Amino acid sequence: MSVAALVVCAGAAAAIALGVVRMLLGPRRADRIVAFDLLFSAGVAFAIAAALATGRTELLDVAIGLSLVGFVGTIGWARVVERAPEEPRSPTAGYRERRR
Amino acid sequence: MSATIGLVFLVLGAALLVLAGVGVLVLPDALSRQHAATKSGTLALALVCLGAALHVGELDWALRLAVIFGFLLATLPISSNMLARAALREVEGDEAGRSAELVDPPR
Amino acid sequence: MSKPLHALVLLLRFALSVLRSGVHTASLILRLRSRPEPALVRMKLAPMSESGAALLGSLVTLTPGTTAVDIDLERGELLLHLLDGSDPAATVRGIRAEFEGHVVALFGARPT
Repeated sequence: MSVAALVVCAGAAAAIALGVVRMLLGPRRADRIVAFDLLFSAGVAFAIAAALATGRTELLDVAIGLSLVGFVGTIGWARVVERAPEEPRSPTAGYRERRR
Repeated sequence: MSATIGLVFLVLGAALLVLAGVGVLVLPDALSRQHAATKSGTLALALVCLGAALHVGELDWALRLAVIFGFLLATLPISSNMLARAALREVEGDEAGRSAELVDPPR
Repeated sequence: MSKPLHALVLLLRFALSVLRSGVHTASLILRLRSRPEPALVRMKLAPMSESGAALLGSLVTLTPGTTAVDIDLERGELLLHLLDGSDPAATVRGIRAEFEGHVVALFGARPT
């Protein structure tokens, strides 16, 4: 694998790790959706890195598809939060509130 | 030569992607985190696209990467706006927008 | 100025302000202490058409550090979220100086 692909992979992997931490921490649903949007960006970066590593342009087509429709997921979840009356209590919510 | 310049852009893009992750983790509330995830993420991908196009230096790569960049640029304001609305509603409530401070410096 | 010239100047100004506020935002994220408070502010828009307001909102959103949350054309207001809320007046002045004039020139001043 070339240096270029490795660099992009490392950056995307770090971003995914940080995004997953935020997704697990929450605390609101909006925070998790924000983290989801970051994972999507990292996914496009991974597709480009894969194209760099293999030298195949088909993988760039994957990135094109992702960048074209990726925002739909974010919008869908954002709409859910915007319209939902109130946040349901998760089983761990009490634990987090006590700890805070 | 252009391969080296491309590599520099790729490194910058990767660093910015990490920065986006850090921003999502450390900023204080959902509205602020949204800034880091959408804008830094897209700027990072723009740099990665530019870097990859320069690094490979072939026309079909450059065209595809330009298309990716264009789609990202077109869709970013939409997802950023929707995320901001969702975060605003969840964090501040429905009426926060109406009661926000009006800033109107003289023209 | 002719319309294509306005578009070109707007594009260049936009690229410059993305770079400038990108660096500013990066420094905000990396400086862990003494981070300024985010702010939610409304700004008065110059009278402009719907598509002009949409373009202005997109430009503001694409610039790091500012997000257009809502556009209210009836009251002629833009609801902004600023990552750096230490000087909202300066940010609003910046948006007006760099984007607003060109957008109005490109898309017309009256809502149609």
